[in-house]
Amino acid sequence: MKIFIFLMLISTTLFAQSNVKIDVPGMVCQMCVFGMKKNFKSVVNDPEKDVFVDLDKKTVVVNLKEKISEDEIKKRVNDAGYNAQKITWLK
Amino acid sequence: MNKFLLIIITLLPINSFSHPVIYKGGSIFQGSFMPRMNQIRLGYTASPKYSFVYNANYFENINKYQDHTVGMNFLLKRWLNYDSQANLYTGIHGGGYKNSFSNGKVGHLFFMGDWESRVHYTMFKVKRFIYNGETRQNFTARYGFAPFIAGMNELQAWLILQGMYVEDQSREVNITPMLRFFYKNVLWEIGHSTRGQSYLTLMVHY
Repeated sequence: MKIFIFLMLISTTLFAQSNVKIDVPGMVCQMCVFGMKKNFKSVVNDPEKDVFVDLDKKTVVVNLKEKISEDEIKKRVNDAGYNAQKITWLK
Repeated sequence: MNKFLLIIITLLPINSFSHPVIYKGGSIFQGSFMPRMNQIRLGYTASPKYSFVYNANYFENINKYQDHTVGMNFLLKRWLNYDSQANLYTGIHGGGYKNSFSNGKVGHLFFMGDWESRVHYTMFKVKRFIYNGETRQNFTARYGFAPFIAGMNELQAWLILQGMYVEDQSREVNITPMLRFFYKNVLWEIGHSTRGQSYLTLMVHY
């Protein structure tokens, strides 16, 4: 029973949804940042709702299905044509 | 004949001016339309550094001229500042053309630089056209101004002035004022040049 509870806690921690805020300088046009939604598509439920780009603050907030590594986040931002300057986990 | 075609084509205001390379996995459809003249471009960005493109032109009023080219575009360098970005691109395309009288090989080579913020946009492009041994360069510069700043999913408008100069031609610069609109992943642009050419461009990123 203890093992079961332990595994449940671990899986809840590992597979819980995570919100991450990424500081991305240089985002200036709507069409260019469409690539953010495209490149995070496979790690969110709905790219339209779960990838929020703020052109004023130069941030991207992603509601991830599961937590991924910061290297993976940086790679996806690079594939979108930008650099992740700072990554902040929101939950 | 080649020389005549080359002059006409290099003077058209509808050459492609979107970013030649976008984001990994991104595709572009672009159609530019003038009276009895159409231009189609399809592009696929395989990496944030390069893309594959297909271009087609059809000019019914120039002896039913048409050409088809394929090629690659490259992002040479990108500078990302907090509220602006600058880019350097190059590209090389080759294929064939035909019209009512002849057919042959066609190619393009270009270098392009741009700088843009949310309010200002500048671009410079040098493009070399090669038609069966005849070559010609054109030089294009653009300045754009956004009268207001729209949010991510709002309509964004730009006022743009384009100047185009073709070497060895009259010293006249072909000026084209244009309006550009963005909405989400769709762009459309309308303009009317000092040579009396009106055009519409529609572009979709997906």
